[in-house]
Amino acid sequence: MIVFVTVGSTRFDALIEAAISEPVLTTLRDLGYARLILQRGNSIIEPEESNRESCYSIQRYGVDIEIWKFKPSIQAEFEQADLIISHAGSGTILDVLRLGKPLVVVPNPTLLDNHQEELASALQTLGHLKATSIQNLASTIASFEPRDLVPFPPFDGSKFSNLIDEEMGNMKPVKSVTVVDDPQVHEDQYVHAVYDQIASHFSSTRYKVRTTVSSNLYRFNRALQPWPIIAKFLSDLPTGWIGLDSGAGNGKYLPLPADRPGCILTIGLDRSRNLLQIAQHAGSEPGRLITREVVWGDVLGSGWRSGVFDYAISIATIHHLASHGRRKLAVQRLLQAVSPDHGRVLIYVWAIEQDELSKRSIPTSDSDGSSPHTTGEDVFVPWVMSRQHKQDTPVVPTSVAETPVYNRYYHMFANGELKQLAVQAAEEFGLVIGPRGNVYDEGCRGIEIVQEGWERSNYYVELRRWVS
Amino acid sequence: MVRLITHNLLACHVKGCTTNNFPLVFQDVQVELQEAEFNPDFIRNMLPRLEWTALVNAAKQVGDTSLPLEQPDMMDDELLQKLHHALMEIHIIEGAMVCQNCRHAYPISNGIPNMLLAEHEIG
Ligand SMILES: [Zn+2]
Repeated sequence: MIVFVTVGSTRFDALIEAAISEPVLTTLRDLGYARLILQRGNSIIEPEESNRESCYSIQRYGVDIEIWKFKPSIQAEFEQADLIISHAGSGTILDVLRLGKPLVVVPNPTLLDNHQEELASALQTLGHLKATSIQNLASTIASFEPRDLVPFPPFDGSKFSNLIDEEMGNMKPVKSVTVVDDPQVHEDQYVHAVYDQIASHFSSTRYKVRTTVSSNLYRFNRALQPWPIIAKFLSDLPTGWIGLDSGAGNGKYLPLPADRPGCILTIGLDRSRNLLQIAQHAGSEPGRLITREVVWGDVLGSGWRSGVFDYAISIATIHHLASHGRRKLAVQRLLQAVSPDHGRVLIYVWAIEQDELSKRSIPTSDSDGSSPHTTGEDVFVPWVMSRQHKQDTPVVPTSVAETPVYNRYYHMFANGELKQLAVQAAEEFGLVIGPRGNVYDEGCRGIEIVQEGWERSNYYVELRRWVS
Repeated sequence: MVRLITHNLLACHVKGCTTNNFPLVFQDVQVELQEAEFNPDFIRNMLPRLEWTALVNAAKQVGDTSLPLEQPDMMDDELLQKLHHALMEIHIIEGAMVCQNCRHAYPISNGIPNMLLAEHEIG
């Protein structure tokens, strides 16, 4: 039998090294694999001179090994292989699953700004592949039962994007909408009700164990990896700081920073009680229940002592508010929540300018789509229950539609709009905009824009309060 | 969850309720103890954010009388341990928190406090 190992065109030295290590090779040999074909891409391999070769062969531990920099016909390799071991690149995963080949993926842990691990976890949760780590590669191969894998459905494009939508917070194609109701009524129907539905789906339908932390729930939480700028913001905070995650959702940021757990305390606030039940145990593992502080509340509320928090984050939340005034008030609530003296605020919202991975088409009011956006777009993003979910008993049976579709409302921000919103909110809150300088009277209050930008389909802005 | 650390941050936000709206007073509470990892640096650095008297009274309401009435100047390890227990290990699972000014009750159920207000109460 043949095993094909590929890292695509990436550099992933550790996987290449592991693939031709004694434990992996002897495991493969014992399972009957006599040939191993390996595409190293840009990985560096020992000894150094071998990297000059585009292809060479060795034999180790009874396995014939061919090492290629790039294999000319990779599709043919997938087809002839009995097992594929790969980095967790989405293109490779998709190609292999479509061929129905057994796949073991090893996400590259050194890639921070990358969806690899969440994608791998999500697909493993659905039973389509096996995800593992470098350390556990040999034991995973030894215990791997390709027969237990769930066949990947015939490719129709939607499965993959559904998955990305649900598990990674990305979106399906969206449609333009005009908010005609009262903004609050609109949010009740197109934001709060939908999130409660999605959350109850994850916590009760698909994952049946509610009283203890089920391993599936743990995987769901773990599948959502923090974004680099958010992770860095939280990990730079001094020990002893207390913060508010306004719109905490399933609580993915509550366990951070990962390298110093418990050094800061983030309290999660959300409108969806169902999501909070997930957030309440974010970061728990089977057998190790961790309880987070969560509060059921509205991001436009202010049920805390003013300025009591050292920091506040608002990730993918303000874009659910259905009017400019409400979005501005949400920013002011964040400014009000944090210390006038040193409070830090980080806000993320979805951008009209979307990245390549999600490949969604955003309807625009521009006829030719060429002129830059300035005011953002109000859109609906459908959330569709995927096939896997529907096999279980639906929580809320829908009378008409066979595939329930829930429209979630978003205001997608235009370039510059978030900064403008923050500046306007701060000014009306009585704050001077700019870095703390010596030019102001004593007691003057202000806010500095520490950084702003676009990251993976989102605009973000980081603010810091000061008193002179 | 409502632990005393969270309770010490929360205040009533009913429209017009701006004085004596902190601390909220526990009512009919059920408490559960859950061990948490002791991080003395976190407790020591975090402490200036808390209202000491409110903490001592809240701890009493949930049956913990280990804290001194006055905040000591020196934080020794024994006191940090007591604070850790009071702030991080006592979970209020059921009950309510009541505003002493306007009497609004914020219910706690399954460890989740409900700070939502009715439309006419929003400021
Ligand atoms: Zn009150």
